[in-house]
Amino acid sequence: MTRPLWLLALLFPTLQACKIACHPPGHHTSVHDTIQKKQQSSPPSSRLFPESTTQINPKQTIPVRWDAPSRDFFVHKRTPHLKRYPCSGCHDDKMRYDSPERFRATHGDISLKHAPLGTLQCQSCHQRKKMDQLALPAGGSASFDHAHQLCASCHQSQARDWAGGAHGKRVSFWYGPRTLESCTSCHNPHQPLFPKKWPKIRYRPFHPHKARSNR
Amino acid sequence: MSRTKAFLFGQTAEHQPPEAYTYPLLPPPQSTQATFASHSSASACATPNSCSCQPPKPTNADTQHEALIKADLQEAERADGISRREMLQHLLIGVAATAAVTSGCSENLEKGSLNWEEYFKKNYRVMTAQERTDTVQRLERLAQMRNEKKPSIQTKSAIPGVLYGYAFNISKCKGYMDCVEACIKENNLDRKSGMQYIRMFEIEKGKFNVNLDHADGTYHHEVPAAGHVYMGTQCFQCENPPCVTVCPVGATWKEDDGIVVIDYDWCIGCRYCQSACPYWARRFNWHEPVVPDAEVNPIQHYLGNRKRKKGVMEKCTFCIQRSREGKLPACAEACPTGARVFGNLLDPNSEIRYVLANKKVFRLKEDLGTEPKFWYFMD
Repeated sequence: MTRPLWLLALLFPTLQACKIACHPPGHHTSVHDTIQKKQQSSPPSSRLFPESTTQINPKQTIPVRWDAPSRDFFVHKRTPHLKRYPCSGCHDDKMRYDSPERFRATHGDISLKHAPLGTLQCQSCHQRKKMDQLALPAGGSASFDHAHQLCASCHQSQARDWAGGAHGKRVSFWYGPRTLESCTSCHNPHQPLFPKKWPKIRYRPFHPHKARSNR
Repeated sequence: MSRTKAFLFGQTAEHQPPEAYTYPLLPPPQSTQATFASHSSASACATPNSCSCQPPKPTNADTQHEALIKADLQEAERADGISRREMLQHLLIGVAATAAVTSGCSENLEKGSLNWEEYFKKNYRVMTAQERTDTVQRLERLAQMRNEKKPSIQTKSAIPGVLYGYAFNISKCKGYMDCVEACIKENNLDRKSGMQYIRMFEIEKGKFNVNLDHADGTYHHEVPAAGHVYMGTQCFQCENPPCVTVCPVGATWKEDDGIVVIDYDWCIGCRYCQSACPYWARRFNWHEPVVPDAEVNPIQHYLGNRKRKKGVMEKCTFCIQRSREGKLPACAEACPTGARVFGNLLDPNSEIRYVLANKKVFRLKEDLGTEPKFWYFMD
């Protein structure tokens, strides 16, 4: 009974010595440790960044409160970029569907490929009477700048990630007030799937399984 | 023409000193017979193109230089506490200046002395603020003398309270390669060899492994292809960078904000770092990088996208010239699908922290213990 204990007592310091020799203290650091260590320091001073990082243009952005005030952010306005906005310019009273010819002449570039065929119609998202507004499925309306409210009513998990930061795109700066692209800046609401296209540039041939060095 | 001389006078094709004229520290020339008294003044010519000056009489020049070297040496010995490097530097600047004066070109004089000072400058990490400003001014002036677009080189140091992190959404990336193009333009990458910091891979669903054995880095067809995912690799700015450990001269290091950088003027081009990097992230300049002058991005950083030389390493720096100004890296800004998330790891409200807290993330070859600050995640 005494022998294994005696062996263990000898083994322990030996292993410790090996560990210290192979991994000197302070040599290996994990990102987690670094974050823990550095997080105590104060946040970066805004004086060290150009003024443009903290400026918000109210003509181009709208403020959004999603869940908590600490996570407030801004969203790029969509209305300045819409081709046929305001809708009330033509639709003086309410939405009408007279004939396919007339639809083709006015909105021929729109083909609806959103959700399985026949699930959605124009009035699923557009208000029938107040044409400059979007219709929320739960009732009520939202402006075209607040399109995310409409999108979020079906795509809840995407909306949560968008507000948190794992979905969508931040505009220009990582520092300063968060300004996000609106849902419809990236997705065409009538065909939300990204299109197929050729890559922007040609690859540089590289075979990872053959590469010993990485020229 | 000797190598030293070529360095001293720059490699301009328009004007090179005649072959018979040798640099004064080398054995004195024997063959020159002509006298060039009328051309010996520094104001004889102003531009390299109009310069028709000829070498001076060698015998006078030699005695002058020897006297100067002796005087310089004596002075250096007298001066107490002057470092060996400084002494050598002063001596060589003096010699270079004399050589250039006697050759009679003010432009060459300036270029020669700038090149010498550049050659004997310190590692970026030990430079004082003044020395950094000086070297930036020299680099900008030299670019101007080469008739290139004048760069504006920053030396902004790491901002306290910032640790950069990156996340890449493999379920969002469609392989469009907008990021690669933006990177090439932003970082003044060599157009001749088609250098790219970012590599895009097409992987068949279900065939992913950490060594990317079944990844296709050569795809060129309409994307996204059905049944495939796309992922990009670049420098992951490891917390334990193996490339830094192996560098024999200390030309590469990790900054306080986590970015691994290279001092291009200190790198000797041994490529140890290239073979040490498990992520194929480092690139070597086999020749002088070629960037058309109209496409040069003049907003540069000393440790980032400034002009590289032949025979040095380079790599992604998370666009240090942009990220230290609060901007997103060029790849993250160019991505049309929002697959790239960049931010401050020390800010609990940042997007990168949201991804780490709420998404299923992994890093490439995590078992190596390099601790990359670059995560892949899925929706």
